[in-house]
Amino acid sequence: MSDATERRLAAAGWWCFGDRLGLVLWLGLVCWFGLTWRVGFFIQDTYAMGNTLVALADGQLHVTELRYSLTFGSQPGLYEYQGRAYGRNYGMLALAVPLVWALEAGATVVAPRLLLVWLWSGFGLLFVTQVAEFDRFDRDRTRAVGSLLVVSLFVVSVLTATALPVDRLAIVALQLSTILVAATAGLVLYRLVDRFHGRRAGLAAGATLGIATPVGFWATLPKRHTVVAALVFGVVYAFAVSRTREGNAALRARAGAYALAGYITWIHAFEALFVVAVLGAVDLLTTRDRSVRALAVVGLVLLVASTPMLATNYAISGNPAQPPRLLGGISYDAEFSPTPPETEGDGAAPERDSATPTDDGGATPTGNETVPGGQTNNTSDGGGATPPRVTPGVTATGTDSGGPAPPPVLDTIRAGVDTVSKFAGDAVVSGFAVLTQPERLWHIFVRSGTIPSVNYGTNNNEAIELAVLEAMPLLGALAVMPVLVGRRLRAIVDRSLPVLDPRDWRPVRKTDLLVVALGAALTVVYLPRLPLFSTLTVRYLHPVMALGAYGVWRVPAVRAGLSDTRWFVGSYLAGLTVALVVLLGGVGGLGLAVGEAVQYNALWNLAVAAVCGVAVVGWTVSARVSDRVVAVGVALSAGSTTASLLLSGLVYFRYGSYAFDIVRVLADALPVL
Amino acid sequence: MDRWVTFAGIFVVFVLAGTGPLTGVDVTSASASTFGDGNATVTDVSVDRSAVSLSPGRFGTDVMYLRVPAASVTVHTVTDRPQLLYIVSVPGLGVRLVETQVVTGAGTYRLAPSDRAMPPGRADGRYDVVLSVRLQSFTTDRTVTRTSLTVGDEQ
Repeated sequence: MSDATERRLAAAGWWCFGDRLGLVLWLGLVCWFGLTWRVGFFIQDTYAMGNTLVALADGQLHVTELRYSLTFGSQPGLYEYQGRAYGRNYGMLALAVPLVWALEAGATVVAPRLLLVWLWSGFGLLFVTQVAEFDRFDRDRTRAVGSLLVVSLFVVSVLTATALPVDRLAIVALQLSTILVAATAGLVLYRLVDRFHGRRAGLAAGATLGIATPVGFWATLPKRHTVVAALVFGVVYAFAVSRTREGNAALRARAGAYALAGYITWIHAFEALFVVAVLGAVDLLTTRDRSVRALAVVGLVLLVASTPMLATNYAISGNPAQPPRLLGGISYDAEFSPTPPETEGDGAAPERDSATPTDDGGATPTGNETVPGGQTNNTSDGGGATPPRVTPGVTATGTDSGGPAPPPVLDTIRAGVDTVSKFAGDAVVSGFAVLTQPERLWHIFVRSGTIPSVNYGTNNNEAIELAVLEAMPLLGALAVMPVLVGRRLRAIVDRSLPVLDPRDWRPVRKTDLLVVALGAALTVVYLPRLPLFSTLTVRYLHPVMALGAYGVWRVPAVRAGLSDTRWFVGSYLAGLTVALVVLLGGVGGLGLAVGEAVQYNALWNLAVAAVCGVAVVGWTVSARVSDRVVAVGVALSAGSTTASLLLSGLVYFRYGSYAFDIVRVLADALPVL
Repeated sequence: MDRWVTFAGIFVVFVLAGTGPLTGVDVTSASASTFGDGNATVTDVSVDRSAVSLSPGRFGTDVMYLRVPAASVTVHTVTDRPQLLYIVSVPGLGVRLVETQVVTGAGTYRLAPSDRAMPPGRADGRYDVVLSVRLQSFTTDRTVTRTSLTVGDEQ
């Protein structure tokens, strides 16, 4: 490799990761997510996603082969147009296509299971070499010890390896793509917080996103939420950069924000709509450059970034404004779909009650749900017969809208506007209506238990749906917000702080405004559908909870907890240990069932969230509360969430097979539910 | 590149290439849930019958749980990969829990089915429960032990 190429590669690397700390964080998060990775299907929607990915990797939008299927019947998440079955979230699947190719190519030389082991070892080795570069470590010794450790893990993994069928590689690629994206979300948060508060706070923010928020839970469960959350962070980061730069550099970053927001349309048009609208509003409110040129640039970038979505829609239905989600679900008598179609979807159609309840639990997979604790959806037992083939062309029973002639442009635009106003308008209006129902908000945000309005039938009646705070106790730190906001308002009333035009705010304030607006919008529009079965950590609010991690590290008290790093890390490890003892003790000693274990964990998480909230508020209102107290509060809730993530992956939910058999061997030693 | 890292990298690549489809050396074993032909002698089955119960869910779970104990099954003279089935059947509730475990060698295997949750009000009476352990493979299928009891409130 020539020097110039090498330099260019290095420059590109540092452009992505920022610095070595960013790279180490990213590698570390990938390795961490791999620990609880199970190859398999946790949520029923994933079958359709996997099959669509198989088609996409073959260069087709419509599903031609049901490679993954629990039964011969229903497969929620498939849509029908003129006899062909289509999936959804194409923008997310597109990211996984190169991984499918790479893994399938690799499988011609290396056994599929060992391919995964190799990936994990490779990431581990890279991690070791990068960590060894830090001044605080002895370079040679770190490399030697680290390499030996990785090699021993590798050897044990090879010795315990079980067979992984080659046809699983598409679902592996899909899971790997969300693992990489989730790690990238941590990286972006690191860079965002680093920009305003330095590397230590940035590292803490990026790391906690992966080990102490639901981002860690969903990293290996390939749903769109992980990708949307990462892209939303990307939008916020690019926006923050654009507010700290001048001239063309600012415009480039601004365009980057719109490009990322535009890409979300390809994954989930409904969410993208609100991200774009909020970004546009906050951008115009806080920018100094409202020139025609700037507006033309960002408008054009947004259009270009939406092109893949428009093109996909056009290729499917001839109507660029009609995403697959708005096509008819697969009809009754479609050959591969003998049960009623599940039009529940999870986004565009804001209706809450469309799930088909099954009284006797998850035996009939009509809901898009998990079968916790059961082995029924263990799809890697190798005993499966040849997957049923879809025979397109015989399923044309749904909406038949004539030939493929494209509608006139005006009609398309009108239809698009109609669709937008219908869904978006409805969602916003009914979202605000939910704000007047305190009990419902309590169940969404604070305490779940068995929620009266939720249909648990599809989950074997197990109360495994958490509330926001139970899933992410770190958010307890935001209890201090009223105090901080109150102080600021008082300062403005006292005129000790001037009222400024938003354009003159500091960049960090402008970024806060964007984060708050995004969080509010993405919450309100999903409130009409919540609480809902199958959301586990309230996954519809996933991007909002991720943004919440930014909010937590913007609180001065939380950052003060980092003043003594050793103390903070020590508190975290102690918190993790205590939580593991408490939770495993409950599982082993109380003989808990799945729902009970999850709710027991939820109550523990609420307790530590309260401790975290009290510590942070205490530090803020009283000078007598030391930094170390805050450190303990924050680290305790972070450690407890890490324990929850570990137990979710190793104890609570059983499906598929562990990606790394060494984890399977170790997990066999844990108590079972 | 440091020699340790280089050594580790070369070792990994060497092992992977040497065990792949190209060389035909397969180091992976069958997945834990794959069963096949074969047979085994079951010498002992122990289940704590008194641990079968119907009780309300705890920690905010508003359901009734059918709680079932684990079965410890001791097997000898195993050939190939048969599997053990532990079946808890409560016809009155329409519940049938099946826990399976593939047997690969002599020893004691523990089969612990998950408790089954039911909506409140569904399981108020007294119900017959049948516990059975079966040994199954593509060449054999026999019930090793079968026992019944009742569970629930006195009417």
